[in-house]
Amino acid sequence: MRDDADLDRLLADHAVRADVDAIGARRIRARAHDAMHAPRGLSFAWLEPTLALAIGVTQIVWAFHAVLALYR
Amino acid sequence: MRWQRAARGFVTVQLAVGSSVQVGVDDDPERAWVAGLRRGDAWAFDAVYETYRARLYGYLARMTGRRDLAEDLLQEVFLRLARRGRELAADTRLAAWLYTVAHHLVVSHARSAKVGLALASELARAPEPRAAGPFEALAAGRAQLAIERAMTAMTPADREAIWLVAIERMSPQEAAAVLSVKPDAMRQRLARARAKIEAALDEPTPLMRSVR
Repeated sequence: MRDDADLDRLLADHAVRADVDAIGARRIRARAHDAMHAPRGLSFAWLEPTLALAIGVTQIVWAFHAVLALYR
Repeated sequence: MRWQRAARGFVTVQLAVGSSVQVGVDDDPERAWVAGLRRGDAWAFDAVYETYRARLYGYLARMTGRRDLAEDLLQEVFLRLARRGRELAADTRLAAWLYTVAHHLVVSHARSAKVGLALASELARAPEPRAAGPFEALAAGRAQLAIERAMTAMTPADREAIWLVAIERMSPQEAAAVLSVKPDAMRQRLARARAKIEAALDEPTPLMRSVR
């Protein structure tokens, strides 16, 4: 009866180690380097938080005016 | 050129008057690699690529059952690292990050393949024979073959759980986070996977069977 650590070690020791062939490995690396140094396109990551903030501020202003109108 | 220790994991190399560059040293290579990726350094990418390429390929091949597909998905993992390296947090654990991306790619591929299979099964309803694992043919020796067969016989969920814990030496909690499952589910997956390995190792060889 083997314990968990023994079984894990057996798996780690005996699993077949394989790698991509050399040509494939060079191709992937070259593409990744190209992607790393490619000029970045326009990013709209700022748009969503800005819109959320604008809507939130609008709601607060509207609520403030509604309370003012009620007590006037 | 002058070398000077700057911070844990880094040395500052003085190139000329007024210019210097920080490079990583060995005491915490991953942190230096992440710092390099955040700066867009090609050497940092290459270090990560050399360290994780074969390990990720082994995982992807076993999860998809196809070495050509594993190569395509491996390329996608490293393209994402190249594109998003600058956005990594300074304390990113690279193994967890890479395996999370790889896991999502495998799941995404499995979903699209399932749709394709459903369509194909309507056209041809012949049952598929049990496929051998991608590395069974490369196994040298009884133990290696038993391990490869056990991994092929596991469900994909059990297989990736045991891979992350046994091969990548992640803790079960860390592996559970990578695979987005609860710790209890991870424990069950690991128990099933280890039972398969134990059974495969204890299975008599063909010669022993013929003697009995």
